[in-house]
Amino acid sequence: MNLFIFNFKNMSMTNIPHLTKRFLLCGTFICVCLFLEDIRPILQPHQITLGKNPVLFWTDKISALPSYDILFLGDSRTLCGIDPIQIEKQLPGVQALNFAFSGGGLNPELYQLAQEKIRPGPGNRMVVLGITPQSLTKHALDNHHYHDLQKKQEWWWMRTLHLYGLHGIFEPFKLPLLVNTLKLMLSGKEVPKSFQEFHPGGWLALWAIPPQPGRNIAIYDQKFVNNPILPELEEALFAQTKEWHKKGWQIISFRPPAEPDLIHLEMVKSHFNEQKFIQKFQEAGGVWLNFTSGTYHTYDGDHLEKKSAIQFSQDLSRPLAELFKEHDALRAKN
Amino acid sequence: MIFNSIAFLIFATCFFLLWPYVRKTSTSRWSFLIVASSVFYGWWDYRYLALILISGLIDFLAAMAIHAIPNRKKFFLILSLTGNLGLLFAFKYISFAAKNVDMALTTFGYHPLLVQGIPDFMLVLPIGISFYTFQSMSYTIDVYRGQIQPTRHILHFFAYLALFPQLVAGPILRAKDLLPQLCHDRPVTPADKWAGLQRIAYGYFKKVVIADNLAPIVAMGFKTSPAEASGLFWWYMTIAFAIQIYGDFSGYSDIARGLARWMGYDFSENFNHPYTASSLRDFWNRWHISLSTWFRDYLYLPLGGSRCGNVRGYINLWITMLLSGLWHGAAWTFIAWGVVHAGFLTLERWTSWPKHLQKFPFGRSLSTLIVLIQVCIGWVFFRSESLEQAQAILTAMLHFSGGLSLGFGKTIDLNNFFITLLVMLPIMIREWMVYTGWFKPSLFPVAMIRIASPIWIGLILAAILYFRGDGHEFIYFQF
Repeated sequence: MNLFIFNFKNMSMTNIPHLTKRFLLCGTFICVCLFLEDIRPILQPHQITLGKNPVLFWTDKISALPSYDILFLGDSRTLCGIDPIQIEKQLPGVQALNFAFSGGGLNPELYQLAQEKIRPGPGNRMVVLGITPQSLTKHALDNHHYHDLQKKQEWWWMRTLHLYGLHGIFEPFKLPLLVNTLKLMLSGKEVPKSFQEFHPGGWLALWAIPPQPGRNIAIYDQKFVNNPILPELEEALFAQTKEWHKKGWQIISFRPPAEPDLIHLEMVKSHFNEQKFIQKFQEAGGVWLNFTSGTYHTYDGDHLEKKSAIQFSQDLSRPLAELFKEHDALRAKN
Repeated sequence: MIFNSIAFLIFATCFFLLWPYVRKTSTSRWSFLIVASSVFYGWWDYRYLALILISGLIDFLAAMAIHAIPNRKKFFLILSLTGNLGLLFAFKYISFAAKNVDMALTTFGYHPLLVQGIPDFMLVLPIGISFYTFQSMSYTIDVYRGQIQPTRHILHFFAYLALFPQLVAGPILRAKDLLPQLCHDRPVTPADKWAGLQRIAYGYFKKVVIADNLAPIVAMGFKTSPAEASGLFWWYMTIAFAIQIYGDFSGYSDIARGLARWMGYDFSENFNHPYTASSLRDFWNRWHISLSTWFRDYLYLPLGGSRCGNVRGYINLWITMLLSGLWHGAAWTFIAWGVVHAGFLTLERWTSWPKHLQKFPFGRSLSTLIVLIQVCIGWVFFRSESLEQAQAILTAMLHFSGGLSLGFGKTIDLNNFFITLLVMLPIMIREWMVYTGWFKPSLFPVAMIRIASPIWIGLILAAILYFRGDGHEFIYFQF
């Protein structure tokens, strides 16, 4: 600090060999960087990224080729709750993709994009929709996350993709998180750690230590203020279901599990009439699957944590596999 | 292009790799500086390079004409000033003027809607227009006054006008200081490189660690409805903004000075610990020195300064401060900022209160505190979105509404309070040490300081890398 305030004008450095100066400067810099990188997991344990390179994860998802037999659509609950590998295990030879995005909606733009990922030609095809009230709202119609990813320019993708490792190393410490960590450490409490793991197939696995299943519940109190469910989006979903059904595709829907308290609050605040929705969806040719929310653990109240997501994916895969095989048999008969 | 971007890092690396080879002859040096500066400026929007070209051509030709035809020199000066100020008005103030004329005429029942008639390209404020226009004008005025000889080489002139380190946010350089420097290939010594590195490191530290970490919290704070927060909260937010703008602007100036040093040039100091000033006049001798001296030399003194009697002196002061406010931006809040400073300066000159106060024990400290309060009141106008917001904030500040409560939990929580405090601390401690004269180099062995210096710079560079905030543009780009 003393040196920071001092005007160096009068302190010529010329009588210290330049090599020594450079050595001292670079040595200090490298030592501090190594030290900060070393203590980063202690000071900034809040979100640890594992698995596939996130940039590759998103580019692969956005630019996926039309080579999939089963596609999962929905918002972040589907993104974090469905591991498509589980259905591929049940149905060898079948390709599945989780094509869900954070805050993403179920709307014509996403249906069109989804359609472009389905394998063309003959054969059985299945579209699985994770239905949440949020995915049918005005905000979800913007498909914000998808457009954000799409808008990023080529050079951004290239830079982030190739320098990702470097970027992670020199990532700055987030001061609010740092202060929070120090506060918790000083008060002797456990510092929460969050993990996100990017998987091939479009699944983003989340978990936290310690778990914080109540974290996002309060958000739902305000989530639907000025952001109602749009009836036209429900109608568009039924119309799309009919159209795909006519093509011979299977359309399956389910409500992704979350904390029961959150689901209750969500239903009350959004005024979502699920029974009516299911009825109309079935009339359009879709199949609705029921799952009990309380049997799975969540990461933040909203999204399933990794183990529960795998469990849920397996539970979902069984009826999906049966439906797929039944449909295959029916097609073979015809 | 902004200094805190990857693009600039690449640009600067290329520039300094080529610089030793191109600076040998004047023509190659000037040409290279112009090309590099054009890339630097054009990175934002190359179309607005035309404005620098027009502004520069006006002054280059006017100065030549003044020198060649001395008996018509006033005419050429007026021509140059009209051209420059006309451009500045067209691109910076036309929208503001049109809105206010529209509003005034509406009250009389007319609806001219002048704003709608302004072409789109004039609604965009070209980055740094106020800086390069003033720099260009000072050249012509100096030639008119016979203080300098005009350069006959157009590349020499444009290298002076468009030199990239200071092009978009100053310091506003005088032709008599920079033009002669550009004439010679001054070797860059290891001491220059070292001094430049220190400047650049401090500049980036002030910008990316201090200003950029304060920026989101200050922005969040100023979004709070004034009635919802306490007076103490607003004092705190205003102090945070005072540190943010100081870190941001003096950081830019330091980077500019450091880069110039690496090129072999010397830019004048733009900030000299302004928050240690013990009078408002002293503050203006320490804050944005290149602008305040510009206004002093090209406006206040030509108007007569304080030599033509008290009343005339006060009028000149008010004109200078109002125009200084308007220079910062086309909005009533900036004009009000100028008015506030003019008011406080008038009071100071009239009563000489700092001089009287400093006769008492702790008088100097009290005097500095009062100046800080005055400056903070000014910053409220500078930062507010409207006069109404500024007025409401000032009411809360001066009435101390809410008592000692900082009003946490509404927009700013306790964590953010600690962050702002932590981030502001280096500048506060530094200013305090300068103010008290606590740090004396003689207290430490020179050898120790020499060894500690590179270690200190290494620490600063690591802090820049690891504690940088989200990249924001420099505040003064908008002026």
